[in-house]
Amino acid sequence: MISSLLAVAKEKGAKEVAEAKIKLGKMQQIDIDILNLAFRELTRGTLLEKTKIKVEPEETRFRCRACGHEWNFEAPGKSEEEEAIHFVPELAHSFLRCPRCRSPDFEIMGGRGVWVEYIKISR
Amino acid sequence: MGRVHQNLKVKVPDPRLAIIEKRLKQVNRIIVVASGKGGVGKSLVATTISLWLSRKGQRVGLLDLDFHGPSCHIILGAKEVAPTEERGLIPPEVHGVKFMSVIYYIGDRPLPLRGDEISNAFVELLTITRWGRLDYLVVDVPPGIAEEVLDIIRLIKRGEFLIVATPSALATTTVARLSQLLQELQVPVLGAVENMCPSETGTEGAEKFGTTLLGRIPFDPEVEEKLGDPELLLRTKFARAVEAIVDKIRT
Ligand SMILES: Nc1ncnc2c1ncn2[C@@H]1O[C@H](COP(=O)(O)OP(=O)(O)OP(=O)(O)O)[C@@H](O)[C@H]1O
Ligand SMILES: [Mg+2]
Ligand SMILES: [Zn+2]
Repeated sequence: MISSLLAVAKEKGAKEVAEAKIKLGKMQQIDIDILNLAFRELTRGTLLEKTKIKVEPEETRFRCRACGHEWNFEAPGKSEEEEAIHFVPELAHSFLRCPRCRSPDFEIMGGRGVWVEYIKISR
Repeated sequence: MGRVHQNLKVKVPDPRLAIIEKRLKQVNRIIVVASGKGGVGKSLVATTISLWLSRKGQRVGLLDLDFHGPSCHIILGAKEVAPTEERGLIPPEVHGVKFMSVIYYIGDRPLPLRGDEISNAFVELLTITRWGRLDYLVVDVPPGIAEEVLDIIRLIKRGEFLIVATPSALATTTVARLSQLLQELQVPVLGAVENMCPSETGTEGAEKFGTTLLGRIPFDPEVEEKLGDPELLLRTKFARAVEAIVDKIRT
């Protein structure tokens, strides 16, 4: 992620990167504080050293292909289910069902991965 | 001149693909057991190959890629084991084989997945699994030439295919199609094995598979009762025929 950020900043001829917005899927179970810390650690001495990062969590969201219902997944505490979808999100199909029609045929709409939404640069 | 502020979208390449490469770095050879045709003995052959390799002093991993019908755990008799969580998942060792499968998480429940979900699950599983140092990784692939086969070709370029067929004309044509595809894509192919043969001798008539025939494996009615007990399984006629094929693969 950091190398992609640096590559884009360089490509655009940035002198400074003021801000970067990072989205963090909740399924990933990454602690925001830890991500912040890692970012500071790994960008020392680079163009991103002073960059302010805004980390925003993204809800785990599903959409039923059978009836169209959409819902957010809230795992009950440290459950086995949460463990499983943390490793392989698709495993949700073995234990989750659409709350409206009970179908296992749903799409994962959000909540996976870590990505950069935008950066603000000055040149 | 004032400072120019720009909002830029940043495209980040899928980091999982780089991780997969790293995860497989210490794996010497990757044997992909596939067929195109269902029910020809891929899982039994793949599992037995991994057991023999381990017997012969090799460090072996076995990956069950069949999300809809995982079955290697039944042949291995893998019960009450689970991966260790440590910066990823370290597969447990079962009868000398490091074994990875979705069964640790889904148990006996069905796992209904569509095409792109199969692809994603495959990528996630490869990203998360830490095999460590292996001489061989054996991969059991479900029937067909869909996601699992195409993703292996896309992501594990050095995977060597072992194609399982049976004497039935209904298997041969499907198997020949897979051979043809692999050849066209210049994927490494070890050859074919003909399983469930009335007798195991000879390699004549092998042209029909479109690749070299590494050996024939007899139909062995004793196999069924040995499922789940690798020690007994390796003593069957079936397993002895597989051993000869393993020796060919190793040279
Ligand atoms: N040589 C053999 N002699 C007797 N039984 C065999 C032999 N080979 C395979 N079998 C049996 O045939 C059945 C199918 O085998 P297996 O499940 O390994 O096939 P598969 O190709 O993996 O199937 P699928 O396409 O569903 O994944 C099993 O019951 C297995 O025990
Ligand atoms: Mg199988
Ligand atoms: Zn529904």
